[in-house]
This record gives sequence, C-alpha cells and structure tokens, in this order.
Amino acid sequence: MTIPQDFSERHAYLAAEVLKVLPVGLIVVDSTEQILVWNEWLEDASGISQQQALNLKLSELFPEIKNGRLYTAIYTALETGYPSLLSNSLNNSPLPLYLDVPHEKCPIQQAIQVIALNLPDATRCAVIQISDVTSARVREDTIVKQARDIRNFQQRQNALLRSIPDIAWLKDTQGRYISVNDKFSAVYGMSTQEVEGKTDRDLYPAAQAEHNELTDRAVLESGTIKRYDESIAAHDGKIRWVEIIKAPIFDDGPKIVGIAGVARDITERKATEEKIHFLAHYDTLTEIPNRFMLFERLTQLLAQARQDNNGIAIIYVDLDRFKTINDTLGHTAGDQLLHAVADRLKNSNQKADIVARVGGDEFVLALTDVKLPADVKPVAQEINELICRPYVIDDQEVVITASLGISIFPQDGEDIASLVKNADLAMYRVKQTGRNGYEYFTADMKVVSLDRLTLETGLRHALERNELELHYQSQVDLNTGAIVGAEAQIRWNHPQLGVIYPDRFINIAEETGLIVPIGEWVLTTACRQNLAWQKADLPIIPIAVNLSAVQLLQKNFIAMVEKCLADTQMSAACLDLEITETVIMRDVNSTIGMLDELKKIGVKLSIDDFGIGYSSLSYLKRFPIDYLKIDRSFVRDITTNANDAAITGTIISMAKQLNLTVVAEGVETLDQLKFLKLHKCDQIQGFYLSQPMNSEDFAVHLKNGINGALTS
Amino acid sequence: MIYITPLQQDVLTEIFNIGIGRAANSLSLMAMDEVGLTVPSIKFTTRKKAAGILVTTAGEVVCSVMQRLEGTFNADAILIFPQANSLEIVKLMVGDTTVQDLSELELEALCEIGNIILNACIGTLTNILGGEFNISLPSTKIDTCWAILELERRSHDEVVMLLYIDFIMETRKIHGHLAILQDIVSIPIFAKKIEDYLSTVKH
Repeated sequence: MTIPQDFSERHAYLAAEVLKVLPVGLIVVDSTEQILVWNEWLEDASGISQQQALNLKLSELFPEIKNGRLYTAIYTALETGYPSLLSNSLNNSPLPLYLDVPHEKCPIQQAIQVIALNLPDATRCAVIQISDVTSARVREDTIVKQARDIRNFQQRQNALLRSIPDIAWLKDTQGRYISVNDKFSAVYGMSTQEVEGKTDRDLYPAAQAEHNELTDRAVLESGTIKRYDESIAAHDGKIRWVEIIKAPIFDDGPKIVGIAGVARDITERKATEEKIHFLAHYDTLTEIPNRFMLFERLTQLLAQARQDNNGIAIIYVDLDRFKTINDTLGHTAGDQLLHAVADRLKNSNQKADIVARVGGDEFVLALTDVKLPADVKPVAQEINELICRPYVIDDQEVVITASLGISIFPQDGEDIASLVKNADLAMYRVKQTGRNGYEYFTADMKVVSLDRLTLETGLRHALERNELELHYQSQVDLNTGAIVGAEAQIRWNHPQLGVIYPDRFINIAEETGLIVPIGEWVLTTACRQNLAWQKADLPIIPIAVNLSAVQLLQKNFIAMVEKCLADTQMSAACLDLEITETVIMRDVNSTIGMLDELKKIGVKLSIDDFGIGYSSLSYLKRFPIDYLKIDRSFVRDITTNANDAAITGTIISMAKQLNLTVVAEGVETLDQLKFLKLHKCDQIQGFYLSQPMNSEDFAVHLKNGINGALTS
Repeated sequence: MIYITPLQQDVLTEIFNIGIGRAANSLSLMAMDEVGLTVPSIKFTTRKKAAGILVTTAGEVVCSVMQRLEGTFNADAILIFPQANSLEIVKLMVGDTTVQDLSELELEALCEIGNIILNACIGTLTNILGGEFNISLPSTKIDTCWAILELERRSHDEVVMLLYIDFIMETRKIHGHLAILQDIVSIPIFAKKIEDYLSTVKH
C-alpha cells in the first residue's frame, strides 16, 4: 500500500495509523454516546473489535458503567465541555479491560481523562483516553510495601533501642544520627527529633566531634566492633565515665549501612577502680603514698639519678615512743597523731620528692639532686623540729619526737632495698643513742643488719635454738648499799647479727604471738636462776621479770605463773613482776583484778616506767603494788632539767605516802645518785652501779656487793 | 481601586456559594463526611500580596490543583491544601496509606478530587454568567504559594482578583482554600457579566 499524496488524505491516513500504534486506549463518543473511535489498543484490551464497537453506545457495550464516575465525566464533557480526570486510586477499573483478554484474570489498572471536543456544528464529542497504570500501580504497591517494611523495621529498631538501659544510638555511614534512645536523651538532653539527620559536628565541640568521627571511621573501615572508655560531659554538667561499644550494622550482605553505638555508664566502676588504685598506692590513714608507691617512685627516681649521675637521699623517720601514745591515749588518738605527723612531713618547706608511710609509725622521704651528704642536713633538722612541735589531740597536748636515719645513693646502696635498709639502720643508731635526732648511715652499722623479716623469721627459732639468754641488773638499796633485787633482761644472741636487745624484737614477738612462749621461758628461767643462786648460798633477793601487755591478755596467765612457781619450787615472794604504767592504765579495772589475783599467789608487783604515762593517783592507791620504778627519761635529766627534778621529787614523796618502795632506773652518774639519795629514793638501778650481766657474772657480783660505790 | 461594585461583589459571593455548595455536595458523597464552608471573600490585590495571603492561611509549601479558564474572560481556578492535609484527603478518599509523602498516583487522586470541586465551581460560575470557555485539565503541584501563583514569570505587581473560600471536612480537620485569580484585563468583562446577570435577577 502506498501513502496518499494528497495532503488531507495523507493526514487522515496518518491519523488512522497513529491511532493504531497509540499506546493508550482512545474512545470518542458523540453527544448520544455512540462510539465513533475505538482504537487497536482497546481491541487488544477488551477483546472487542472496532467493527463490533463502532456505532454502539458505550453504555450498551458496557452496561455496568452507568451511574459510575466515568459516565458522569462523559456527560459533563458532552453537556458542559468540562474535562475530567479519573484517578486510578479512586476508580479502580472503570472499564472491563484485561491484560489477558480470554482469561480475564489480570484487569488493567486505568487512569482515564475525558475531554470535550467542540465540533463546528456546535455539537460536542467526548474523547476518552485510557492509560494503563498497572505497572505504575505495581511499582507503587512495591514502594508502599517497602515503606511499610522500613517503618516496621524502624519501629522494631526503636523498640530495641528503647529496651537498652544504656545510652544507645544509630548512625548512618555518613555519621548522621538516625535514632537515639531515651537514655541518650536523658544524658545529653537531646531527643531523636533534635539529633536526627545531624552529625557529631552539629552537636558537639570540635574536639569531641573529631574524636567520635575517628572511632566511627575505625569501625567503618575495619568492619569490627570497637570498645573504649571515655569521659563525657552530660548536659547536667556532670562528668561521667562511659564504656563505649561501636558496632557496624550490615545490610543482608557484607555492606556496612551504619553504626550502632552503646555507652554504658561506668562512673561508679571507675570510681571503684580509682579507689582500688588509691588503696594500692596510698596509705588510707594518712593519705600519703604507701610502701608500694614509694618503691615504685624510687625505681623511677633511681633510674633518673643513674642517668643524670645524681644523688638521692633516703630519710627513714621513726617516731619515738609512739607505742606509749597508742597505749595510753588509744588507737584513735594514735591514728590522729600519725595523720598530723604525715601532714607536717608533707608540708615541710624543704620539699621531698615523696613522703610515704611504710609502717606503723615509720615514714620514708626521698630527696633528689643531692650533691653532698650535707645537703640533707637542713631537711633532717627541719623534720626533727617540725615533728617535735606539740600536737593537740582530743584536747590533750601531745609531744613526740622522731629518730631519723639517712642513706644516700649511690654511696650507701645501689638499690632501693639496701638504701631503705641502711637508712633504717642509721635511724636505729639514733634510737640507741637517745632518740630525737638524725644520723647518716655508716658502713659499721651494717654489722647489725636488723630488718624486720630477718628478725621475725629468726625469732621463731630463737627459743628452740637456745639463742635467748637472760642478763641481770642489780637493784641497790640507797641507804645500805646492799643488792636488794635483780631485774632479768632478755638478750637474743643472733648467730649472724650478734646480740639483739629487746627493744628491737619484743614488738615483733608481741605482734606474732611469740611473746607467750618467750615470756613463759623468761619467767621459768629467771625463777630457776634465782633458786640456783639461793641454793649457792647467795643473798636471797627477789628477781624482777618484765611482763608484756599481750601476756596479761592470756586467759591462763595466772595459771602459768602458778605452774612456773610450782615447777621451779621458788618462793613466790622472790618473784617480782614488772608491769608498765601504760599497760596498767589501758584497762584499769581488769588489771586491778588480775593484780589482786597475783598478789594472792604471793608475788611482788612493780609498776614500771612510771611517769611517762597518765596515771591517776586515785588508781595508784588501789593497785596492790610493792615497787614503783621511775622511768629512766626523768632520771637522765634530773641534774640538768628543773622540771624533771621536780617531777622525780614529787613521785618519790608521793610513793612514800602510799608506802611504796621507789626504784630509780637508768642511774648513770654520781650526781644523779646524789640527787636521788637526797630525795630519799629507796633503790636505784643503772650503769653507774652495775650493768646487766650474765648469770655467772651476776653470781659473783651478788656475792661481792657493790663495794662502797655509794659512798665514794 | 474599586473594580466591581459592592453589589456585584455580593452577587459574586452568592454565585460562588452555590458553586462550592455543589462541590461540597460531591465531596461529601465521595468522602462520606460533612463539608463545611466559609463565606467567600473577594480581594483585589497584587499577585505578590495574594501569595502572601495564601501563605498565611495555608502555609509556605502547599499542594495545589489548578484549572485554567480561557474564553470570555480568563482566570486561574486553584484549589489549595496545606501539605499535611493533602495526604489526609487522599487517605479520606482512597483509604489508609502508610507513606509519609504523596506519591505520583496519590497526587493523581488528589487531582481528581480537585477536578470535581473546581468543575463544580467553574460550572456554576459560567452557567450563571454565560460565555464561551476552554477549560484545561487539572494539574497538581506541590510547591510554595509563590511558585503556584507563578511569581517567577509573572509581574509581582499585576493586579488580580483573589476570591477564596475555606472549606473544612470536620472529622479529618482538613482545611482547603479555593482561589480564583483573574488578570486585570478580564475584570471589566467579568464585571459586565455580573451586571448582566444582575439585570436578569432584578426582573
């Protein structure tokens, strides 16, 4: 077939051809609703051919459209000329058109436009254009379903987020917040609405945002979970510690689509950790570093000093007679005193690099940049001076002094242990030579290496290995010059360390409980020895034995004394038990009961180290005691210190009033002796007349007497 | 700046009342809901100010359905819903949908609803006033009032007649606004048509 050449014929031909290929349905009806145009698309979709359709009324072809929207729209167009649009959403399938015509199972989803066509003869046609929106509808349904799925997912996600008790959030891969939970809102003061779509840069200061981005990036790049602790500022201004876990969110495959974050509040755990660190490194009583931290710090300081060829000084500080304070004022007061001492050490002008408490009443200070031993002198002097200033504890004025030992790196030791030990030795020298002072370590001190562990271990074997020995010091009557008593004093003959005096090991014995067997041994040995001297026809004198507070606490203590006397067959009257003033005063009522029982056995009782404690005279009257021994610290200064002289005089006259025999301890000079004699002191004991000696020497001493030393 | 007399304005108000009444009737049938109407108000103002008035009543971004009349006089008939309400209207007609934004097909549904309302109004107007018109198919737009009144390409100072009616679908709290904008050239013809109608009524 050829294409017509005439313009109008050609136009009609083309119009007909266009109708055939038009991808929409096209119906034209005249004012009587008769079908004028029925294109091929409609033939395919309805199964009705053009021949069948033409010249029929639309409502004859499809009776079901009557009274429907399409029908109204057609008549609106025909009568008024107004166009109408029939949405598929409102009118599902106005015409019975199908994708699969013979089966009629897949109706075509239609969108219909009705347009009026005004003809020159003043009549109108209606042009009905039908579009197939089935695929669009399917797409739409898919989108709606996806949207519903997404919403359901989001709802589940939000439910999950809400159920997490910790701070939780979700971010996309661009770092934008998708959702946060209630806890997040509570801590940061921002709701999902406020953070949604925002990044850390919009919400936090730059530094925090960068940090968050960095960790987010690490998660995105590695695809693994990251954990770390950090501190955050909550919107209430409080700093909180959180443990953060950031995890990648994957799609169904390997693609990361976001980050889930959880921040658990670990503020309390951190506080506990810090507390544990504090407990491990600090002394809880004084709040200064403990031994552990001292050694840690010294390790650093020594390493630095080695590198810089510098000196370090270790100062070992031990409070003098701290035990007495503890015993008389109680532990609470003792603790307060330690705290006060620590404060003074910490706040001294000459700043130490570290001040640590290493034991009950022992402190260690370290100084760096020590060029010469003399550099340490002003520091040591200041410490001595600082410590001996009076303290007020429980409204009582307390005075305490300290003994200081100094060791210097590198000459006095290459490592921490030996430096501290040597400083301790130097300190011990100060204790031996009268306390309240300082001493530099010298090589000769090393001979007596007396660290506590060595002593404790050795002491456990001292009894069975026969390393303990008693020495005896005579007590002399000031009027007659006769030896009227002896005090047994324990010595420990250490195989390596030589002679060790009780002030170095009795504390340890008390703390370890070894004092009980040792005390029993002392009592038995002293009784046995006294009996031996008696049997050797030497003068019969009471033997004085010191008792420890721990011994007195033993339930069977009285029984032990009785058994000892029974075993040795020594007369009870020849035994003099010495108890210190401070031990008696600790629990007056129970002590009085015990003293009464001892008295019943027949032993003599002494109150030892009298004057340094806080006795009440009314109590003293109630104690069934025989002897009162004035503490050596008063006797030492009676000739030089008016106060001590006055106190000593008062004690003597007071004791006389109570019918007690007064014994002065630590008499070392003739002047002291004269003073005591003048004040009518009964007996004296001390180096001036005789030093403590072993049993054989004492037997000779007892036999010979003191040979006029009193009168010369 | 009086283009029509108060009497003509009253007539116009009445005509629109009738038109929108018919529209409301069709809407009520479709939505099974009562549709409430306000008294139409007529303002002669600039195109720019007209946009401002619509912003204050409907919001910055709105959903609109427009049909253009061309013939004896020219006018744009625009139906405007606040954006949030548009979805409600579709839900009303189509049933619940889970989507947050209007999709293409839902816009099409909205278009038909607008078509019904606008045809009712325009039909009443042209029936009463008479004249020959071509009326375009409805078109929907979600945009700013500014863009819907075509301020980008038209003179801001062009004087227009803005006629608007609020209609309310009570149960769903849907507010819509119907605006008819006439260019200044059409106003005298429009006024003449009203006058003609008035003369027939007087008799």
